[in-house]
Amino acid sequence: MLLQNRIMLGLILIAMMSALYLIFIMVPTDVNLGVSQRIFYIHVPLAVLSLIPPIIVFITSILYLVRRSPQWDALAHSSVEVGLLFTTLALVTGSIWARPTWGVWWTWDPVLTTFLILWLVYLGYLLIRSYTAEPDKRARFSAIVGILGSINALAVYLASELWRTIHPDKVIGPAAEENALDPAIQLGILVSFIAILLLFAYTIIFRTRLHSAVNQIGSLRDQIDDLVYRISNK
Amino acid sequence: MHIGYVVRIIIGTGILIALLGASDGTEIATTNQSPEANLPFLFAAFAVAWLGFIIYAWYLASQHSRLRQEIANMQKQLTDIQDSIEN
Repeated sequence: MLLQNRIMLGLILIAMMSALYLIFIMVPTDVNLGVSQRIFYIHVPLAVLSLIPPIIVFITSILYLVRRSPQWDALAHSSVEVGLLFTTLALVTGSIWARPTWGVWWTWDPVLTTFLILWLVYLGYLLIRSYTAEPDKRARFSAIVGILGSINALAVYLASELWRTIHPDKVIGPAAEENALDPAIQLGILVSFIAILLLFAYTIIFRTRLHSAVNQIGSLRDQIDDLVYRISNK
Repeated sequence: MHIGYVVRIIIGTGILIALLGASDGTEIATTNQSPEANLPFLFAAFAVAWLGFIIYAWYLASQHSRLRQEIANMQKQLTDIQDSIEN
């Protein structure tokens, strides 16, 4: 294993352990919601980080269409795959939190609905990739879907401002109110966010490396085919 | 497993969950009585999240080892062919 891999995994482990300690030992239990409020520490980072892949996909898809370099397509594809994982987990953890808090597993609230659409966009992107055999055409179609689908992420971000919603307001990020959280809760969410951000970055890097391995296989296959052709024509 | 099958399973599960849990919003109410009453929900949320990460990590690791094996095989094949040309 590469040294940078080990360092990254070590950092993830330390951050995860610190986050778990803060979530289950340090932060106070919410008076109204009870222990289920602690789902917040995993749900919020997952949901916030689900909005990062659309930004990566938007930029890399444009770069692919302009430069036609496979590395941009690989990065876009990796981001979507990791984005699908994060969106799925954010939806599931949100649904589990909604049951004791709102009394239902799901409600067609604007924030939830736009988020579900984002999840479907990711699925659509992966379906297009899996059903298009020709690599160049696959990358081109994916880039177009990626650019159009990324715009939905803006709707998710602005949903609570644009429509009436029962979903809580933003408590972290530039749109959050100042001092919206207790300092202990702030520390808990910050450490949890860092831990999940490291995991997010690592999975995208690792997934992109798999793309490089696939490209290497393609290049080796071409070399073998070329040599076999030369031998057969001798 | 082909990505198409995985995507179809996810879509099916998603639609099922949406249909089973769909609400017009009238049922919304807080149901917890004591702070510890919702412990199973806390456990379920963390378990699902960790399970999701572990399954994805396992998928990536298995893909990585398969590709590495394939690269090693092809490099050997390439060397063999080059040797046979030289000889």
